[in-house]
Amino acid sequence: GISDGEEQGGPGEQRSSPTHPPFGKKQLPSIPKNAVPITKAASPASSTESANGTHASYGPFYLEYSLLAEFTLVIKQRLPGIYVQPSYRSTLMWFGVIFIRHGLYQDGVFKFTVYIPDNFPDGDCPRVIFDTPVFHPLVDSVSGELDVRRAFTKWRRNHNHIWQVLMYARTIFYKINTMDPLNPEAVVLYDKDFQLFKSKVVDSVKLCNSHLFDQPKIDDPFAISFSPWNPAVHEEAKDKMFRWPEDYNKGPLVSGLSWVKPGSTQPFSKEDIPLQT
Amino acid sequence: MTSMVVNGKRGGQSLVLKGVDPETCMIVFKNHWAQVVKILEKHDPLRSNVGGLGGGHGLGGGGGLASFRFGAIPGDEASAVQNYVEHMLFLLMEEECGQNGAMGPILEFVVMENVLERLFIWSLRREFTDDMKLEQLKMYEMLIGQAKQPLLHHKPVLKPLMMLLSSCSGSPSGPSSSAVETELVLLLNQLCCVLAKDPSVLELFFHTSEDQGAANFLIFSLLIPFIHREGSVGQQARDALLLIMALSAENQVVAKHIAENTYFCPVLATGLSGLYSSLPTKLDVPSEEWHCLHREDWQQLPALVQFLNSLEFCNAVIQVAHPSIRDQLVGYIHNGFLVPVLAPALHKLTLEEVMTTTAYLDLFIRSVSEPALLHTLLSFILLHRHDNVHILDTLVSRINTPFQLGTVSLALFRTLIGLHCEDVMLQLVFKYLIPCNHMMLSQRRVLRERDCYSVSAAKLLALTPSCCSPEVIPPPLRQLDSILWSKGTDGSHIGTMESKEVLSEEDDCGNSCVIGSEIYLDVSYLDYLCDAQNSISHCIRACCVWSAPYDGENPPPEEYQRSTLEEAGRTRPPITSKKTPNKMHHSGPPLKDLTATPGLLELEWDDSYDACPTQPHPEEDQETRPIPDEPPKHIQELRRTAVMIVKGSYIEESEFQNDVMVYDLVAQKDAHDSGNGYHAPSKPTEPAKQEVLDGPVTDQKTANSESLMSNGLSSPLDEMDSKKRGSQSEHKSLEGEDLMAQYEELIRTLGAQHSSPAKADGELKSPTVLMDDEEDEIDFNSFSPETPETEKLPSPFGTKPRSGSRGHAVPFTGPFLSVLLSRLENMPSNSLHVNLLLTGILAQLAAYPQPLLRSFLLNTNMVFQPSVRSLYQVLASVKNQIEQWSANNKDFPELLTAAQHSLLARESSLRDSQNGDWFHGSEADRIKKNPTIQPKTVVPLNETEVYATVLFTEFLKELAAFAQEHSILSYPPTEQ
Repeated sequence: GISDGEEQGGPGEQRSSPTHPPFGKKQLPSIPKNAVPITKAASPASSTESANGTHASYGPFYLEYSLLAEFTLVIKQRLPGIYVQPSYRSTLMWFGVIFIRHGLYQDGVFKFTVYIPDNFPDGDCPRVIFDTPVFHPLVDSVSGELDVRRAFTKWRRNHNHIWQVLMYARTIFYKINTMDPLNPEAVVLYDKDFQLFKSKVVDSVKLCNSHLFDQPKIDDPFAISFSPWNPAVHEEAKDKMFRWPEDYNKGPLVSGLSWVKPGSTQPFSKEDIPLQT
Repeated sequence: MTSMVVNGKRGGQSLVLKGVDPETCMIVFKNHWAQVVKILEKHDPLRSNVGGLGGGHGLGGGGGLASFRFGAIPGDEASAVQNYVEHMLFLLMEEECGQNGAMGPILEFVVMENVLERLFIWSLRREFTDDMKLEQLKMYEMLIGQAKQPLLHHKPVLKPLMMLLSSCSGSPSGPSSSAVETELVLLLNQLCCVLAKDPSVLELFFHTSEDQGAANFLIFSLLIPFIHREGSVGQQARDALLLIMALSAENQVVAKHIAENTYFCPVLATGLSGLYSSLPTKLDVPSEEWHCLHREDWQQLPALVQFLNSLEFCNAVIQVAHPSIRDQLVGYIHNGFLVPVLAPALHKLTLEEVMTTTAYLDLFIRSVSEPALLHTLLSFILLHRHDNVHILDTLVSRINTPFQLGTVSLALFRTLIGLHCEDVMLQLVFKYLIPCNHMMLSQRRVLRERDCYSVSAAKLLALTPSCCSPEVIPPPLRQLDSILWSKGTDGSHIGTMESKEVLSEEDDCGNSCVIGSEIYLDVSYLDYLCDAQNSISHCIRACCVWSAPYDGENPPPEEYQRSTLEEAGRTRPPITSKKTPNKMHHSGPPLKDLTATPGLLELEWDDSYDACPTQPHPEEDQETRPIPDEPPKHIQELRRTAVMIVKGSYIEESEFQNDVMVYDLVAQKDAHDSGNGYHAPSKPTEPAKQEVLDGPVTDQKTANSESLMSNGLSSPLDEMDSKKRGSQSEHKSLEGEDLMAQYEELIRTLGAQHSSPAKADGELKSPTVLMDDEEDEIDFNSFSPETPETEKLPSPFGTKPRSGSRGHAVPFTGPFLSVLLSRLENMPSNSLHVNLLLTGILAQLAAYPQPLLRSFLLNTNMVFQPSVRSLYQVLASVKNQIEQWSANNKDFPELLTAAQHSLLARESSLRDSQNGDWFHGSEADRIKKNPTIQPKTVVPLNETEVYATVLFTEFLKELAAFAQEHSILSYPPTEQ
């Protein structure tokens, strides 16, 4: 109700899952809101004022929207070769994939998962864990976790954003940093036997790519999964992607009005207004 | 009657006719015609004049010479002709096209022998009564509707048809009966359908070089008097006109003719004025809550329905017509209706009248959809100045009147804001925000930042009064709606929303999400979020056509700084307090009582922080002060002319009328000589003219004889003029021979005339010439169809310059925002419906994506100049009032619960009744109509604080939802 400022959800009018129209966030299809407020008992009180209890009631919404805002920022950044998608069950978990287009790790396709602390943005920095541990000085060879903390020693709200973490996750494959490694073996090879390092990287890339078509590690409707090209499945989706801007404009026809000449702040300053005889 | 006979026979005959070969049909047709001709010739005054001497045909011998020549036609002969004609028509209709689209033999015969014209003359020869007209009209209607080959391409068909049409509208035989009008419009409509389908016919109609002359124009102009007619006749006429309008879009000739040679646009536009003048000047307001005209309201007012019909017609014309017509019409509406009629009406004497006009204006804007027409209405509101004050300023100032006018004005602004019109928003809001004076300099760069962590939403929601806090007292009605997040140790989770959903998840990596303690989540908030997202994305898409993003950089603040400072100075006169409403109070006796009531005056807004911006200066006060009792002269004038035009004294010149006149002379002569055919209406008399000018406005007659004649007199056919004059003034003494001589001469001159029509056209078609001759009062040229106003703009912002620089450079967000916020601050004492409107408008504004407005309304972290009051501050003030009030009222919690119940009941009843309603934002308007659920305890509406508290709490959620949705909406791809 535009002009109505009162209860909209009367009894019997429950909307179990108010799905957002896919306006402007194509990559985020209908995350059910009810799945989101997964939160620790402690978290609501940790940020902003909670003087009269409203925060407790609305805290999950703030968290949800903070993460959606982060996601919107990611989209705006248009990070090259990086794709992410929040999971179905929680916006605190995002699935992602990085395509490396040149350098040592060329042709690598690395799937990963981002875990965001539930007291975001006031907690630690998000964690990034590769599905398959990539051979890399900053990636733990067992857990596949990327050392994010070295870049974001303290997560600062308003300054740090998740897109920066994603950007960082991409950068490590182009610019190798050997300080305080999570994978000391990689550093030793890098320093001592670069050829061997290179061949191990190539092996690792091959290994990762060989698992590309595996079922996603985490069972989630929004998990990223790859499959060989199948025109029956993919052709239509591809078409749709290319058509996207048009489809966008096809929505219900709404048009405002303007007779203001660009660069003017005068009403009815446009010249081609229909008022001459 | 005739047509019934015809129809009846046709059914039977068509069976018979099947299989009959064309030759037989032709023979039958010719035989019939021969019989008809016999009778026709027998009574033809020209022939009998000569042929009578030659012994005639011996047959009629008994009648005596006089009656033989001029007397009434014997009934049996008339019906014989009638019978033959019916058969002939039928044969003609049934005839198929010849080969390669050539005429069939019967049609060819009809054309060669000029059958139809002769039949028309025959009917004139007889008494040309309404019955006769009906007969002829129906004949053509049938022919055109059912003939199997195109007929209108042939001049011998077209010409008598045109003469018939002409005689039916403006014939000297007086006003046509409504039956004739109905039939006439039906036929015209049919013709327009043919035109629309077959543009080649249009060509024929338009060949001015041929002697059809203004044939098409005739069809068109005959429809004009019916433009504003109510009922199905009017509707049919309007439909027919629209067909021609659509033709005009593609046919430059038609467009040019309509725009330059007809009074279509002026009649249409000034007709609005005429119709407006018959609207009630005061509405019976059903209740104090009423604030806008809904369908169910205006459907009760026939005059308003009629006005809206005509307005809708204007809208449709503008939609389909050629741009030249559109522009002209729009110009006339501005100069012939808005400025001379609506502007003064908006400044009437009493509150009720002004309120009524405001409600009308609101309704008009809602009824119109064509951008060009909206442009006219809006530029009138935004740019026109009445008594040197912009209409917009006046309207804004009225928001503040504590009476119903204030509410109605609010409703008008709700409509205006809902248009998503940049020009409106610029004048109302943005021009005050562009310079960024309202915020601290350091804040400018923050302007476009998004609220990533819902901080503003949290701050807004934190204003929830303690009595309504969901944690402290979970609102009873919402318990069902709340999600209960329980400690999920046993794995069974209670979630009313979707209980099957697993809420706790342990993933491989040990990232556990632990369910929190019991929290009531306000599920209704999801609906607000959803609504907010819809509103914002709708608004974003609507604003795609805007010229600038209004983001603090474009338009650049610096460039507009200076002028806006002046502006601010202008609209910020010294605080003299409480004078705005007084302006109204002066206006009339009904208000005196109100001014005497201190209680009401206290409702006036507190201008201590907000310096009543529309406060008129003393000298201005004088200007705007009561105006004489009578409506301004120009309105009276306009009303009179408009009424006259609408009600039917409108005619256009047509060469066909010349033909008709000739025939008519013959008929008159006959009638007189025979001595028993005298018809008062067929005689042009002075009283007839009086009747039209002064007669009752409900008289729906068409042109009378005198105006037709004077119309004829303005024709350049001097020769003909003199003849006609003579024939009119002296017709009683006319000799038969004279008449015949005239007849023949006229036929000749007409023929000659048609061969060189171009010469005459220039003079003939000049409206001024015609109108000056015809009706001195009508001077359409006084309404220039050109844009007014724009050139009068004195300052870059289109506001009038003021002397003095009082209060200069005081940051100010403009009168509109100030007045809204000041009324909002009075929320606890406002009535429910006022609060619904206020919060509704603010919610509309909150949906706008422009950073300047978004940051002003929703960014709670912005630091504004001390003199600028932000929405957040006002809300905080309301919260404090509510807290104080609830602390002092012990029974407040119960009242609150009851009020929630009744508002929910209202909500659900609205939801029921709302389906299919056309006006989206109207749900708030029908407070307590059709309550389906009766709340147990009814909190009296005068317990405004209780309702305001409920509303306030919900409003906070609404605003918070807007703030949150703004933070996550990505903008259209074009932006990136």
